[in-house]
Amino acid sequence: MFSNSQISEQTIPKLAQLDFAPLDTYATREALISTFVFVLPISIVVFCVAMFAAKAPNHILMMIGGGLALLNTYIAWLMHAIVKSTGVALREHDLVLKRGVFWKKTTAVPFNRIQHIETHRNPVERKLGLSSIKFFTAGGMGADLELNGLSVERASRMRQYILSKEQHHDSE
Amino acid sequence: MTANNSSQKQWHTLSPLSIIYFVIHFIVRFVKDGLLNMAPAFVIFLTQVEDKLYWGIVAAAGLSVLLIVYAVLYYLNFRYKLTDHEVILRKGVFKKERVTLNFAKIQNINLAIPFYFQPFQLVKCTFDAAGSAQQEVALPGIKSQLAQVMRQNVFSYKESHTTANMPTADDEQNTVSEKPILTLTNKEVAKFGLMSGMMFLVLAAIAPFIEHVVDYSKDQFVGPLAAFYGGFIDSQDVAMIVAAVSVVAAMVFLFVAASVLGAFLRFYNFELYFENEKLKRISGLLERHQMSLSKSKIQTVEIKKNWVGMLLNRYIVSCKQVENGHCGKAKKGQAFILPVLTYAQLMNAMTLCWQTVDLKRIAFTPISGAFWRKNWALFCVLPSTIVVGFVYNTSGVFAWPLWLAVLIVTAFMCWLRCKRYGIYSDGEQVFVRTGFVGKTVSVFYIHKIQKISYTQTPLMKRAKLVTLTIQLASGRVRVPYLPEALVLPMVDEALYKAESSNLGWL
Repeated sequence: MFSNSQISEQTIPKLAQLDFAPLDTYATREALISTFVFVLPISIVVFCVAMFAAKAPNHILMMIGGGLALLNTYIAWLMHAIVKSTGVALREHDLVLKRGVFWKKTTAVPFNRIQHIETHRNPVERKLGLSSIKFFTAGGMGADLELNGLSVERASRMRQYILSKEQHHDSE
Repeated sequence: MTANNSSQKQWHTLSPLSIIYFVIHFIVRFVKDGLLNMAPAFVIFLTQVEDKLYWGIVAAAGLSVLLIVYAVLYYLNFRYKLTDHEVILRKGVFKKERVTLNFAKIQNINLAIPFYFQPFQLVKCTFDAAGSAQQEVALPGIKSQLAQVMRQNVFSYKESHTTANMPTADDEQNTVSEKPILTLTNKEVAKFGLMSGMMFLVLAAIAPFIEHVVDYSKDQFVGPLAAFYGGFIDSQDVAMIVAAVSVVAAMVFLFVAASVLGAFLRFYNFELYFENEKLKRISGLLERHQMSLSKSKIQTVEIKKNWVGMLLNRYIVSCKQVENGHCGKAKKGQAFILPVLTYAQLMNAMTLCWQTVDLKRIAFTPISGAFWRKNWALFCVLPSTIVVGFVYNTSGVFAWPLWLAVLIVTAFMCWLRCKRYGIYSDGEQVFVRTGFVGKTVSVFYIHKIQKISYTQTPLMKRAKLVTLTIQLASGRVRVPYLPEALVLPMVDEALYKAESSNLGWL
């Protein structure tokens, strides 16, 4: 039977009032290791080039060394802050992610728009027992939502939940 | 199936004239896909090669021979056959490909008649499987009569295998005899050439070689022209200036002519049909190209009025389909363009392909003026101050009049860009206005969103502003610096509509 009951605007769930769950305990460690695997060698190479190839005077070397140390400290702080600022909320019909230190971004993807889900585990993640999930919709060329720093079990549960919701939607 | 049932189970070849089609097709594909990759080779050729004309001719001749040989081999390897329920295609020279398309998956059968096929009653028949990930099948150079029989067979099959509530494809059959709802005169098509901005693309393409172009023009055109003008004008300097202006004017004319020619090639004798919730466009100078689009497949309608359009008071409408390559359920679709429309035609077109809407009456919510002030301060005031400071420090010249002029002009540009932004939602559809000198209004149904997000910096949070980004299957829409009080309920409502609506997004 057709029904067309009125919906009160007040009853529409509000995104801004969600409680977001943080990432896994090891997420910060994983982000730091994955970043400094690249950043640290580059910093050392830059310093070595300045020291041996360019033969920079001592005061310039100190400035470069100090600058690189500051930059590395800033990157470490930023990675830490990004992980701390990241929160995930699963609702009945969508997945919401908030992330960002200076640019705080909140993104929602309805389950019935998800085309496929990919799970990734890089060597660092495997070592720390973590997993990443990528969600793809029909919009955009890459992943629409990427969740790093989830424990394997939590990522698997989340994936299963979303897939079951998708199937439920498809069968309707 | 009809009388020629048995013959339809054998492999058929195309007409040898299809070689011409393949040659043109490969050239178009090369220009569209391969030209950018060839750019470094062009740069090396133009900057490093001494005898350009000779080597250019050698390269062109070599490429032409390769192209013709490849087209002939492609033709020889091209085979197709129709069974009682599918069309099968075998093609490819180095990589053999076999495409099987079930009649049930065919949405449209489009017939195009390139001018070189016309005297021989040949057509290019395309079996379009739009809306699924299946490949389409194109048969260039088959007899018109055979194409009609094949079309009839497919439609008969679909009719006998289609349940009552499924859409059928046989609405294609009668449209040719129907009267078009919109036609464009040659003058209007030429206007599209001016609006399309193709000349700017040409300018952008020659930008890396501008030094060579200028040098070549000076040697080959400006010098001889100045000598010619010298016969009438006493001053040599004035003759040089007049010659330079003449050459620039001739180049601008050439670019404009190229744009207009491009528009004629694409939209000559433009005819628009609408039947059974489907738009159909037939246009083209060398090849009468036919394109169909179901109204339900439109993701976004984009109404553009650029600066030339503002002068001519004309609009361009693009009906955008799914643009994404990795979407499993949908095939990437081209935008369906309705060029150079007057406001009255635009209203009619909107009624047909969207719903009745008066664009001039939409109460867009503007974005905050903080957007232009931020852009101006960050991207104009700060860099120009650094440059002025650097110049003063190195040469002692304080170019304040120029600096002031730059600041005023950039402030106006930033303000104009900010002023163009606007958003309006009636709870069902969302209108987004963007632009700089001209305006573009995009409209989409709120339940078709794929992803929605909003971003805030600490300063924006203090001012209660957010940047809204909506991902649609046809692309991304972003509106910066909107009031938080407007965006947050809109995001909640969009998610509610996307998650609760029974209407599909595809």
